[in-house]
Amino acid sequence: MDMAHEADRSAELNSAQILVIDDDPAILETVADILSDEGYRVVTARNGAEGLAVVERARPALVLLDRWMPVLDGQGFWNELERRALRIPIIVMTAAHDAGAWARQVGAVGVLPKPFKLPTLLDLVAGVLRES
Amino acid sequence: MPTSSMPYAPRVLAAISETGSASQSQAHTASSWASALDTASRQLIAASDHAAIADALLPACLDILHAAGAMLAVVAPEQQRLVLAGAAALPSPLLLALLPSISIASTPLVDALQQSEPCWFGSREQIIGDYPHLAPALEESELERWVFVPLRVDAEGLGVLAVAFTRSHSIQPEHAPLLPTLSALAAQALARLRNLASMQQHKARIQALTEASQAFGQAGQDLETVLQQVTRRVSELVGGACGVRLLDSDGLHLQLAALYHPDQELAAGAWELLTANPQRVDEGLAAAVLSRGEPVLLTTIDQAALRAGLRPAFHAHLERWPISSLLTLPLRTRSGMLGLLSMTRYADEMPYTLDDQSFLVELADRAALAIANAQLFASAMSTRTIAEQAAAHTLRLQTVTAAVAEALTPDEVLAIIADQVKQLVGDASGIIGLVTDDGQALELVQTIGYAPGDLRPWQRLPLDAAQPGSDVVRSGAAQFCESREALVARYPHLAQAALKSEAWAIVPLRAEGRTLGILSLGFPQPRMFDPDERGLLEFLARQCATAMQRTARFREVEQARTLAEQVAQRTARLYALSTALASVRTLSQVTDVIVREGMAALGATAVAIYQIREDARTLVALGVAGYPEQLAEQWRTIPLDLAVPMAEVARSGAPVFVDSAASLAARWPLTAPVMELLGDQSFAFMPLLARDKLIGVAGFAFAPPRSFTAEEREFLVALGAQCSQAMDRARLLAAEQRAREHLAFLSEASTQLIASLDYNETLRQIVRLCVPRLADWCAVEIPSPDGRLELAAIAHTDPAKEQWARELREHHPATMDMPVGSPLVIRSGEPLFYPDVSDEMLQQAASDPEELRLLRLVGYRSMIVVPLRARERIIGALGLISTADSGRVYNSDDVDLAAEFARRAGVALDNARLYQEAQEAIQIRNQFLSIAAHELKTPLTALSGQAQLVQRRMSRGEQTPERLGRSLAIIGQQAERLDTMVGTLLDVGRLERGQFVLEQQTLDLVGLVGRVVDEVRPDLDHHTLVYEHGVDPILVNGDSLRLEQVVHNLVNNAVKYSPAGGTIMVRVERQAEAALLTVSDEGLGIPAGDLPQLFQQFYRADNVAAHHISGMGIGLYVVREIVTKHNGTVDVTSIEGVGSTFTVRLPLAMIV
Repeated sequence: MDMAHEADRSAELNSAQILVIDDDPAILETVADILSDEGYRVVTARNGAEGLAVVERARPALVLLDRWMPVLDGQGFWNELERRALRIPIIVMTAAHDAGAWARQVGAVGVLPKPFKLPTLLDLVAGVLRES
Repeated sequence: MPTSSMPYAPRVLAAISETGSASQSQAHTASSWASALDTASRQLIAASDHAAIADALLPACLDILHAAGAMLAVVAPEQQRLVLAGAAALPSPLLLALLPSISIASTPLVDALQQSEPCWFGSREQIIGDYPHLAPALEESELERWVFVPLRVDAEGLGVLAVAFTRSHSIQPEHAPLLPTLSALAAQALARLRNLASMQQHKARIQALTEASQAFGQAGQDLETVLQQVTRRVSELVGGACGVRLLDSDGLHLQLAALYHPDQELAAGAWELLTANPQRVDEGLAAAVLSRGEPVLLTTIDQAALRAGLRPAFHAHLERWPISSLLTLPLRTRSGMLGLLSMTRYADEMPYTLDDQSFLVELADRAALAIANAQLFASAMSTRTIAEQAAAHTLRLQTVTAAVAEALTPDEVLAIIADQVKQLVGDASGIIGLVTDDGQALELVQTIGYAPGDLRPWQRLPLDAAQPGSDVVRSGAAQFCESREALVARYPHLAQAALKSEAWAIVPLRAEGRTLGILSLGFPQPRMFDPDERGLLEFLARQCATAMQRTARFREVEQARTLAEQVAQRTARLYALSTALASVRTLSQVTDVIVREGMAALGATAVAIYQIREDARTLVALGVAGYPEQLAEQWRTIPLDLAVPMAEVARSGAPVFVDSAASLAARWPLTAPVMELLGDQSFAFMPLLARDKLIGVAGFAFAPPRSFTAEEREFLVALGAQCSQAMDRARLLAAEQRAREHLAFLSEASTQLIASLDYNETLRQIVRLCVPRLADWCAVEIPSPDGRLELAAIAHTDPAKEQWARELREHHPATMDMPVGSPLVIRSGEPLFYPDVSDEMLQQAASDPEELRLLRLVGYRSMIVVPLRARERIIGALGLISTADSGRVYNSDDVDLAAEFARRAGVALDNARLYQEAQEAIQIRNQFLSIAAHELKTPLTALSGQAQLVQRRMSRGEQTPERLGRSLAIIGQQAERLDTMVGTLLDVGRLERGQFVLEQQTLDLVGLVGRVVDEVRPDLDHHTLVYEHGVDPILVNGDSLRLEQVVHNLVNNAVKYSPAGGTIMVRVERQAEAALLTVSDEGLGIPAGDLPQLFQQFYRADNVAAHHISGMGIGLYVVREIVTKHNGTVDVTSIEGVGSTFTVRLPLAMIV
């Protein structure tokens, strides 16, 4: 990872920290690289349980959440946030055809269907962070 | 009588002379004759007889009229004759001359009586001129003038008063009126007397008649006595001879029956004369009386004429006793003329008067009555005597007749005849012999008075033998032998014979012109046989023969009549049964009628109708009545090989008749309870045959026990035939109806079965259709993969029972290895048919006593189990159970129906299953597509993201070689992932299309697995991969790429489904003839329910979705397909939450 470039961007964007949760390592790496290239601080997790640990530790400004994962899935992760009264904007990422419905169910601020267009991802993330 | 007045005559004469002198003196005064008249009239009134009248009248005539003489003649009560009542001063010769006599009828007195006025004769000459016979008497007297005064009352002359005067004395004119006065007074007095006398006579005659009647009556009923009484009494009453002559039987002659006269000599003479000379009815006086029916009275008889009219024989008699008067009267009764009553007076007796006649008419009537009665009695008596004699004879014969009439058998007749013979001819001994049927001999059938054995040599007498008995039979005529000599005279060869008797009577027994035999009697003494005796014996023999004939005929007639009655009765019963059977249609109705009417028609106490099953192995009770419940239940069905009469009849097709329960039990020991439960009876078992085929058996019991006559047997067979026809008709009708119903049911069932495509609904529909139309219970059982038999659907009219049955199955699960019912059917594919479910069968089926108890509760009676097929595969079994609820007993038609229904149900079920599978397949495919899309999108997302990242960095100039290298590595990896996925999907397609081709070679499985393990291991971070194998290669024939794919899939699965990490054990070993590859993990494991479907395409176990483990559900499918193509197998064992082990067996390569 190119840490210097990451620092530049983070300064530019208030150094917002974004948590990306996905069980597929390739997707996780790709999304993290794209966001890092834009200057965001990115933390990754392989499932909901790891994601919760990150949230407890780092309080990210935004979570990009996959739906189907082993150990603790997206829904379980969101339930746990609710239970802990942690209000963090979530953008759901899914290849499922019913992404919108699930997004509304968990009160997601955005939906990113897989596979995604890079600008869509960035616009969505930037928009969310700007509003928050 | 006139003579009574004679003592007064001198006084009267004196008075005339006295008065004569006094008249001359004219001393008479008016007062004196007035006084005399007064005296005379008083005396006349008081006079009680003719003499008293004369005493009163005649003095008055002399005193008052100064007559010289006077006389009074009166008509005697006997009539027709003037008699002297009294006279005064008249000489006797003159009196006699004046009175009529037999010789001189005409005198002035007699003539005056006929006149109404007095006759005056003024001079002697004048009177003598008229009556010369008076001259002598007159000339001796002084009397000159006469007056004859008729004394009349009501024109009837009662008497005559004669008054005579002398020449000097004449009637004075002043006295002239006195004469009529006196004569009137006298006439009155005479009339009074006559009336009195008439009355008295009448009375006397009535009295006499009464007495006569009584006398006749008392004479009794003997004709002789009556006749004697009559003649004697009549003679005494009327006088003269009285004779009775009666008409004889030919009506041509009169026979003197009785004659009476006080003079016995006269009577005897007359009797002799008259009896010797019978009077013809058409001759003489008798003819006149008989023809006119009127009496004839002869008061004067011309003797000469009489003599001339009579035969000389009578002359002497008439000389001696000249007849003076005859009176002949008819003797008759209402019924006719009996004869004549004749009265005869003789000589100078007074002739009969009309008074006599009328009196005799009365008497004759009474006499006739008495005679008629006596005659009738005599006739009756004589009839009775004959009758009594005849009766005595007849009585004996009647006794015989009556006795034999009561005899009902020839033997009885013989016994009675023997007895009668003994009574009639006590000292006789004898035999009765009958001609034998062949007509060749006489056979001894009855002995009379012989000791047994005496007649042994005579037991059989040839008819051609020279013996009296044979002759009598041949001739038909009786033989009477009065003595031994008489016998020997006729049969010389018998002279030397030892004969017990001395006289013989041998009479034929003849009837209707045929000689049946003989009655032969022997007597200890020689004797004559009088006609009576002969007649009696012949009569006896005839009676005997007739009675024998009659009894024989009676027996025949009786038999014929009994037979005819039985036939008529049976015909009527059969008719009643036929009528009743004709009006019913169903088998149960037919059975009812047979049971009800058949019992009545036969007078049976119990009846059982059985029908034979189509399998021809069992009889099933259709209707039972009169048998105890226990028996009826025990023999509800009878196997044909059972040793009971019903089964025997069914086997042989011939009726069986059993006379008693004892012989029933002796012949068929199994039937012993019948005797105990039903008592002693007779039994008839009839095969029921229709169209030469046995359809059942009917059994009837009869009490009290009896032997069946040929007629009864025939009748029972006929009745059986009737029943058979009706049953056959009902069966055919029922079969036709059932066929129609089955068709309708199948048609409806087909409609219903395709109504739903839902599998479970179809199952429910199947069982519901069958209840209650085909069964009381209906169940569908379907085997499950674990070897159990699932109760897929069950129906009963009562849903509570359905629940009960499900619970029963839960507690007592059925398995496919059971040797009964559905498992058997499903294994064999053949229907099972239990027409009668026995308790033994339930015991076999039950696994424990509790299950047996429950099975018994179901109440199985009849059962059919048929396979449910679909496309030549047996998918389950359909069971139909009949219980006591319907009481239905299944037959082969029902089995056919069930099989046909099951076929349609199987198709419906298969359709539903296919539809359901198709639906599931569509759903799985959709799910798969969705999953596949998702799975494909994952590498695509990374690949696409990296490509855009590379592009963006390039455009921004932020690309570095390191970054680019990493991006391309990721892109390459993801492309490879995609390629693998697409390849797998293509494999599925190939496998489905059968285009999966192996490139086989001999390879070492140990090495191959090692390569894959090495390939995978670097990608693992929290799993431990252990590979165990021997040192030696294990060679198999196979496609190395495909087998690597198998190992990859299994190992990747092990990794994927153990997300928490753990050890993955891979082992390759050799076991027997196979190479064994096992891959074990410590992952999630697989639910047991998912294991069977685990290798199906697109199938994913339930728990993987919950763990969001990605996958398309095709890996294991492909594994199995590849292994199978290598002639190997793949199995899985797994415990959920512990882990799974997949085992692949591959055949070892043959080392050539």
